[in-house]
Amino acid sequence: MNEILLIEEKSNQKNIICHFRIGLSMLWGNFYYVYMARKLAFKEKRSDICVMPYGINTPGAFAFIYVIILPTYYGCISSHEKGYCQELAWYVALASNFITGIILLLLCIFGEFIRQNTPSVALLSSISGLGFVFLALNEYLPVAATPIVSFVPFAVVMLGFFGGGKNEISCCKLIILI
Amino acid sequence: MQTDNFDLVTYGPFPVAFVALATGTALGWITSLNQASAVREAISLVKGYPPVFPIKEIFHHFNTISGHLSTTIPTAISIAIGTIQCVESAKRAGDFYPTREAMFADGMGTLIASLFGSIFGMTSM
Repeated sequence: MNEILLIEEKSNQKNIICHFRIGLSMLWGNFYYVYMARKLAFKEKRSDICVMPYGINTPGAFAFIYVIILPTYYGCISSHEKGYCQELAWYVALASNFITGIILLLLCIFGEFIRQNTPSVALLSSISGLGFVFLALNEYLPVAATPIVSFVPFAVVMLGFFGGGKNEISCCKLIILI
Repeated sequence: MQTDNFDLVTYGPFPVAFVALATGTALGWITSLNQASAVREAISLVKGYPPVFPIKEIFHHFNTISGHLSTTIPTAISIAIGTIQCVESAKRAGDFYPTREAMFADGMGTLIASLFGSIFGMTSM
């Protein structure tokens, strides 16, 4: 959710499109992933399955905003009025996103092949880097920026997480949430 | 990392998350880091947004996308690789999801998103 807010904020600053409708596809994807996890849990008779996270592809979103919307908008603004250009940039990005979806469906066919034939270190190294930077460092920097506010809750979280063990699950969630 | 010192800390009946959030919020207001005007601005954003269905306009502008294929195709590939990475990492942790099904969910999610007016590709992160 943090990422969505960030992107919406950035887009608002650019003043190109006011709001996006992400909710429906988030609903679809997350329910589908939960369904997959339930299927897996039923198949393997376990109750400790972790559902995969589903959300917006952040690099793709930046690519769309800065490579498709921005040039379309500024290429049009000199000869047309503002509202028309905003709509045009939105529609062009939507059409491009539609094509992206179709290509994704086509790539489904090769997915398992790619996964089996790529060394897993190559796949995991970039995702771990993303995890350290986006999920850990990016969340810790605001904490370090306002220590007078953040260090007491930070200490509370750390103590709760590494001590006791009773509240571990809610603590995990909190770190991700914040 | 589980040490005896940390084990001594308990928060009574409250969950840790609640204690941390309550202290953080209180400190934020005490030190005037939080501004009331920001809350007022945020409240104006909270309202219902009716769904849109701009499918006609999408196909009307389909001829414009050929110049942007150099962006869309790498984006699609990066989304696909991201999902494969996520499946692989889940497999390492013991949950083996079918890759094809996960990627199908991404593709359908992106299609649904674009049909209802979102410009963002969906992936498992």
